[in-house]
Amino acid sequence: MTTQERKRTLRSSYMGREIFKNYWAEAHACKEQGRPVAWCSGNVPVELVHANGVYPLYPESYSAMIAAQKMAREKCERAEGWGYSMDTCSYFRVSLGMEDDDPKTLPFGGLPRPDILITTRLICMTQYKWWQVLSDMWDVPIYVVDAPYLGLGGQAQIQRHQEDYFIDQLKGLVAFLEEHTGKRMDQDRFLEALALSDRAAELWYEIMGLRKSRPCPVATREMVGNVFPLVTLLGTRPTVDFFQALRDEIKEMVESGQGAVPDERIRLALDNIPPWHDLAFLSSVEERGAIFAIENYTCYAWGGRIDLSDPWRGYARKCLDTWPAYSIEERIQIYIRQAQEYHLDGYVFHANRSCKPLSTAQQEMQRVLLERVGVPGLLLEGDHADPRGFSPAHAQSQLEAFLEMLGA
Amino acid sequence: MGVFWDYVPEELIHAAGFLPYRIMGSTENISEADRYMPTYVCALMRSALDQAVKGRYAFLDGLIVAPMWCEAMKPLYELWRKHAPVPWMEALDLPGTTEPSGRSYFFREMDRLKGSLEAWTGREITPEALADSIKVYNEGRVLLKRLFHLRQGRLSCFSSVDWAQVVLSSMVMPKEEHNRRLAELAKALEELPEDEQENGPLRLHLTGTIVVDLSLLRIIDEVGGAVTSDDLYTGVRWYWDLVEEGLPPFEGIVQRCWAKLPCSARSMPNVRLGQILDMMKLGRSQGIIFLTEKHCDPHTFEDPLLKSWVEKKGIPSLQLDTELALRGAGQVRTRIQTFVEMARMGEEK
Ligand code: SF4
Repeated sequence: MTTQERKRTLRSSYMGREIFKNYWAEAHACKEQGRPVAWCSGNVPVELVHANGVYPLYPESYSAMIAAQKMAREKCERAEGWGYSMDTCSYFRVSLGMEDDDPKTLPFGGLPRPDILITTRLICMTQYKWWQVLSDMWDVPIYVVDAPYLGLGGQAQIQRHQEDYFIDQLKGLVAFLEEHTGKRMDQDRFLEALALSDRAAELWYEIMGLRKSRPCPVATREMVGNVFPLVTLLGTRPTVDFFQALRDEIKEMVESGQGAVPDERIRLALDNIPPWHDLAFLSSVEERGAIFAIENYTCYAWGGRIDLSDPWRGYARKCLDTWPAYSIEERIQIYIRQAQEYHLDGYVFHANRSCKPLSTAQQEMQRVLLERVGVPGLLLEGDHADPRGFSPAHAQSQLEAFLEMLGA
Repeated sequence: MGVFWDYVPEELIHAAGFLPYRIMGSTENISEADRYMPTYVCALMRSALDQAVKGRYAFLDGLIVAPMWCEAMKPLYELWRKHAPVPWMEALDLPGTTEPSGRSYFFREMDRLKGSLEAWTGREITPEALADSIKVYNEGRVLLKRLFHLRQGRLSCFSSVDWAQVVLSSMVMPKEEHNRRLAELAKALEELPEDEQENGPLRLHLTGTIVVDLSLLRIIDEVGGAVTSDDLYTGVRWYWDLVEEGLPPFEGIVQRCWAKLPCSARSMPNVRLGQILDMMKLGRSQGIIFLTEKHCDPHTFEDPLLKSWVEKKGIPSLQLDTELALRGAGQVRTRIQTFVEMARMGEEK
């Protein structure tokens, strides 16, 4: 089988594909029915948006899809023509560059217009400033979920006053949503959304844990597709059902000793967002008996257990606990543990010029991992959505040399 | 004591018995920092780390990095701490909102900073000492503002380069000494007659992050322009707002940082537009130069928007990319020269 033929190895991944399709299609239906649509940036506390009956749309995810369909380049160039620097996040340029396109030429008929905008400073400056550009473009109300910076100099503990501040931000978001819908948030619905989110995370972590097995049941390429509901649909029932099916199937594979790659010999981890415009690059290693067994992208950005006995605080803690908040030392500690638990032979660091929060510490991590525990890493220059930032031939030969060094 | 970025309260440092010294990177080539940080991080962060690793800041007793704004500042702090440790280092968080909950969060952060400094020196920073420092720093700000106004009518003897040197030196020199010199300068300037209205340089507003490379300003001066207003972090954002003296000293200091002209990382673009237009009025500026610092997200996102807004208002503007140090001086000169000439023609019409 070639890598092209086995894009998805799991039956349940097709269920994820359906969720994905319905998600974009339903957005248009909402618009027609007059249900409010919010454009949300990647880490907006989405459970609250669902609990208030507002439909959250994620331009970043949409940009990733455009990149995967190899349509990103022209969009980026168009945005650059409007004065936006090539140094801005490519999700932004792709998204902006679609503005003048006929929606009929875009997947799922493009994104319906927003009624409101929601963004956050949790993850990056990009989301904050990008939404300001949108707010000028659409002239609709905007809410910014502010967030404290954590992990200064290696003390990961989220402090109580930081939680308090963030809880205040969350409640501000509720007020903003209520103002827009004209309805009070239903507390039961909120608690239910949190419970569903927590359950989804529990299942997700279980799946991630199953990937420690040798052979690894499912590779990065497939899981970065399956992560979608964790970004957009946390706090809803279909996400839980999907993850349950996924977990069951993966568990079965592990129990019967089935791996995603027939002759697995080398296990890798991917650091950073995948190059959406060339996902085949990730599965290309499988021809040499190597597999991307785990990736930080799916583990530390969305989803997380919520202490339901103290819902607001539990929710705040969950939202604040993300990769960009970790200090360099914490990231290194996580990888040292991960390398052991997942039996990793090496790390591939996607040096993604578009995403600073995930990329600025990579050189240090690469060096320290090798020094302290002898796990080698490869830095590969690239970009998550703009294909011009990535040279496939060069990357391929670097990757091959790396695999050779690892004994593949 | 190193001051990294413009939300660090200088009065606090001064009252604790240190000389605040603003870190602004260097125009020197970046070589060492490339081992630690990718080149798509802004030049200020890379240069600061580069200088630190090269031992150029070995004279520092302490360093405060504030606020932890962006995804470059945080690793900078951590890498600095690891690879070129300064005896005492602190970082400070500042919320992105202007809401009351954010304010109390920020006051708490400042309290923590003060406590940490006191614990390290073993000396309490008294309200009296703070009040004295406030006087000294406010005096410096008032003098700079006076000079800002005095200079407006006397550009012929006070170039953009000269003015930048006056302001930049205020960030590194002992304040009392600097204030004395500013006062002398103001007196000397007052005695000079104002320039003729006719044939003056084209008055320009400079907007961007920090300008430490004077060669850019020299070009502006040489092609018949003059920077008469700005909203730079090495300009009015640094010295414009005063500490309110009626408040308890520490509160006054924190309040100034909280309420001063906000940086783009914590405000909507229209706030910056307002600042630009206000300052332009005071400087009677006729055009704007956008200096967009490469890899600085707040500015790379905002500048195209702002440029389109000022164009709609009929204000001539020019956008230039910079990276701390001026690159491609020849081309920059041509662009500025053309811009100055075009703007003049527009004025005459
Ligand atoms: S900079 Fe990174 S975290 Fe921020 S929007 Fe872009 S990809 Fe997402």
